[in-house]
Amino acid sequence: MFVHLHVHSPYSFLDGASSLEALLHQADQWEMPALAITDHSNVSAAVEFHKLAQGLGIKPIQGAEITTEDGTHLTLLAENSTGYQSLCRLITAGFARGSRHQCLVPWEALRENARGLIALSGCHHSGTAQALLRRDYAQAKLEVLRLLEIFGPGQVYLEMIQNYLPFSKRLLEGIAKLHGDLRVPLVATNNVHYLRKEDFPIHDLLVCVRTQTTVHQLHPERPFNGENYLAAPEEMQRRFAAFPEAVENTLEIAERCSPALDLTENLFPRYFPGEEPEKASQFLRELTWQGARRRYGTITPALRERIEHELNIIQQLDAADYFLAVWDLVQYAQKHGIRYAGRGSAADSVVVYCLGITNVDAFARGLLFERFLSLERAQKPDIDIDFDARYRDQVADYVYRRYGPEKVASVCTFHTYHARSALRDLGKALGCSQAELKRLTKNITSVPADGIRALLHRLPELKHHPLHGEKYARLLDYCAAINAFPRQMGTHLGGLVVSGEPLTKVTPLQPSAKGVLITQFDKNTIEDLGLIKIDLLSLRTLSAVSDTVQELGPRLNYNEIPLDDGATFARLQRGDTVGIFQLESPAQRSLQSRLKADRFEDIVASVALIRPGPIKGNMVDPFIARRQGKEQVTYIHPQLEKILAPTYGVVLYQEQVIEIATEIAGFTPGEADRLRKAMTKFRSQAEMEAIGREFIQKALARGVERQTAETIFSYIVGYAGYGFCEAHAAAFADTAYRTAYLLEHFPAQFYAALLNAQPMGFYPPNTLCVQARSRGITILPLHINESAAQFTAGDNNIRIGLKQVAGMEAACLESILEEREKSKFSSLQDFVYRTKVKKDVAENLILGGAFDWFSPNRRALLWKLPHYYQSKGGSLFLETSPACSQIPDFSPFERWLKEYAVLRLTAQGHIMDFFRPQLPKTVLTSREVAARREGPAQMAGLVIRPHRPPTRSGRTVVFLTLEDEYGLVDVTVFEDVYRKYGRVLYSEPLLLVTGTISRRDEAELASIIATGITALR
Amino acid sequence: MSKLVNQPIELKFRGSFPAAFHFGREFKIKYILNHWREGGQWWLDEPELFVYEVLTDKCRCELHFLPELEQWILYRLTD
Repeated sequence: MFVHLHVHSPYSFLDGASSLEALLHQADQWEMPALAITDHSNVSAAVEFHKLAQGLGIKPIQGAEITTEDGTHLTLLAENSTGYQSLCRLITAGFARGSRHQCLVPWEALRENARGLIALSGCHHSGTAQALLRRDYAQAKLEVLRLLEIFGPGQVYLEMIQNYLPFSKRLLEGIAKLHGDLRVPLVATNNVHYLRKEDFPIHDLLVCVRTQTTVHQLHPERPFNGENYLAAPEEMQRRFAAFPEAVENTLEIAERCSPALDLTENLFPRYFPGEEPEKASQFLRELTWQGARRRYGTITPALRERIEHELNIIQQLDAADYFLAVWDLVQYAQKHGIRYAGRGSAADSVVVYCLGITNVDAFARGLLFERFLSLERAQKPDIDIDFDARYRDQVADYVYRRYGPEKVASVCTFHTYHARSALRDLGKALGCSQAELKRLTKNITSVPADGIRALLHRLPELKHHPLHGEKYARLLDYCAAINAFPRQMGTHLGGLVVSGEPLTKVTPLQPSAKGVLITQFDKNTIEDLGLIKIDLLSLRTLSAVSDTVQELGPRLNYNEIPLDDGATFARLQRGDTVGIFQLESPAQRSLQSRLKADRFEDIVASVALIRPGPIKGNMVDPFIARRQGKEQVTYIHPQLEKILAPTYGVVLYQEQVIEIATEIAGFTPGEADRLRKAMTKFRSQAEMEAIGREFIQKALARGVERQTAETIFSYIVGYAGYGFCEAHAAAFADTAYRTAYLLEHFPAQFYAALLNAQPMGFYPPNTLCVQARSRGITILPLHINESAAQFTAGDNNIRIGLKQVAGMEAACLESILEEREKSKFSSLQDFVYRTKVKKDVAENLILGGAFDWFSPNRRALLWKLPHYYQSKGGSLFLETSPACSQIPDFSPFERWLKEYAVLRLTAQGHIMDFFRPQLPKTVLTSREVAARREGPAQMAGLVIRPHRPPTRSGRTVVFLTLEDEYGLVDVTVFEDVYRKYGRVLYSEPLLLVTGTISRRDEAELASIIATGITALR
Repeated sequence: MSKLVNQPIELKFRGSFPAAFHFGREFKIKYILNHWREGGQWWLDEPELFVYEVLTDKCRCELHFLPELEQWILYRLTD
């Protein structure tokens, strides 16, 4: 028997070509008692490896191949948890000594952190091997002696690798000699980088990606042959027939090592360090009741019972410290005027509401706490908070200061291979040119890397795609082989982990591009290590809200916005919602026009309804019909009425699934939530049937008829997989309603704020300007003396800001504003002379219309510009340029295009203004389409966001919006039309669409069902 | 001096070790100096290559074995 102790997984980032599952599955087939994973400078695979290996009855040995500060490699194995901690500290020290891209572990750090580690002398990049290859035997001996001094006798093994390199024989002979001279034991490894010999090309390609070479180029790091596979035990015994001890020692090491991860720890910091946990629980209790009195005034017995219930569960789960930590950081945000809003399932909690973390009254809504936290599930709490995007980092900084930098880190993410990235990287490695890569990736959507072939056959625009060619067959195979492999590490947008002990106890830390330290585990695995993530998310909508509120000052009390404002609901009922948080997409605008929302609950339902699941499940139409009383609401079991009455008998929210399982089948809330989760993950048919049997049996035992129980379960199956969390919907609905109110009553201020918060929302800035104009708001052009840095709102106008100009950097902007503060610019020349603005930015300012005030002839100004730059700081006779009065200006169309190019919007007019005169009268405007009930229609406009969401039928349908000078019309392109015109759809900015006007009912916004599409040029 | 030969040969074995080959005359292998494997240009469908550097009774030789073709080649002779 033999155990592989030097194995790289894909977490070696472009140096491991087989998945953990594949490696472990093979080890299991060979009945290997253990396996080690030794990725380069990281332990990112540790949790996944631990769980998978334990599941197969294989002992997981955690390790890493580190690089020392002198660039040599060393293979380290954690004998136990002490060793694992040493490894985490060493890797952290290595990144601190090296750089973001290079972990160089100092020898001094190795001396200080050797406990619990077994050192294998390493591959041919090790200090020992390098000395032997230089024929410096004395140095090789010193290298081994150094390892012995650091790790101690019995902890060091001389690593023998027979992978048939030109120098392997010499190395093996040298190591055997060291073994003889120093009596240090031998150990055989195969420095595994892939599962099978035939996987070698994948490894070679990944190394090419890492070294930025192609297969046609030489690089010292490219593998020489395909011998680094997971060789069978018999083969390893054969290779090391002369050194049987080296093989036997792999078993001895495996025997010595114990699983190094403890997945049962809770490392969250105590709110009162050194005190009994009860103190935190007591404090949380006090804060909650204080908040309850503030929020509710009177505490009814039912409310008291609910809060006590939640507090008891929180206490039993030892989670009080977590709630207090989150409370503490929202206190910070409040004190510093930073807008925030809690979201997610945390809004199911009355305690969280009382603490001021969320704005959703879970008690009044009857929300189910167990969706968030339950004793049976004993899951760690997860509270997500959106902050004004501009201040999210300030809040994160506070967390670092509050707990200490060694106890806080951002959670990492793994950027994994999908279709496009795999094609790009592997195509490049195979020597494809940039132009070829562009052709190969064109129109390849975001699908898994092993789904490219299926995509090529599915999408009409890919019918003649070059990837169909035989030439690329292998490339597609290689892409499939690396599907979902991690390519590099990144930083999670919002996730922070906070620990009571230094984080290096469980994870190495390394610097991110942003400069903050990140863990080597992502959000899926970090909690297994005992850490709890707090999600501090950036939400630009909150930035827009803050700006609007600030701009309006005493004219608006945002928190006191009436929740029954008629004008706001009237806006929603018209589907006039561009700019409203969560309610602006074409599907939402259509829903709003049909639903006729007139209460807050309708908005909560809206947020949950326009999701892939409810749409696929055909829930939208029945919901609308029942909501409007056009369809009778019936319940097949009387107990369902109280659960489903708020959603008119439709299962819409995840909380309802839990309640149904509890009421009908007698599941405990925790059991019911497990059922919800099981179904959410789209388990296998067999598993679903097993859950169904359990549900039906329990329901029968409670006296429910079989047929009724089966029908109810079919409801759950139908909806639970994609049901939406009501608490989350309610949290979003709160912001949605308030932004609708701002849009209705303060459009200029809110549109200006939205424009300043770009990129955000569904629509590009130009569409926001078109919408603002349709409300009678004047978009004032860019003006070198009047424009502020950002968009500014007047009573009924918005002035374009200087920041909007392409290429405008902070220094340029500062220079303009500083000079303008002294005195306004009197001419373009004056501007050039007084500021430090680069010429290309000055050109963009001219094209954007900033100098129209001095001279409306933009082309003439552009012509003069180089002369001003040449004479800047020179002649006192400033006007040195030749007369340019004869230079004709750009045509209006050219002016428009150029202005759009530099501003991504225009102050006046729409591109359709130029096309309209040439179009026959039969081509309708958006206004005319909106006024028609039905019939054939032709409309032309700018294409906004064509997209292919999942549909009920599973067929491909493209939705897009056409924008003209009067507004928006949504267009639906069904599969047959899409197959015919798909290519035009995604490549042309302006389209002429022929089709029929469609409205499902009188109230719905008119849309066009396309029958023909052509480019408008 | 080294001479590139690149000609197929028939190799005789003693057990699993190369022992002798004929190339104009008999070359008896006395010692395997080194051996390694090369991945080849797999993207051009080039097969893997096994290389043996041997000391014969006459000179030093580099022998190549193409496992997919099961063919031995006398690649190079060195004085």
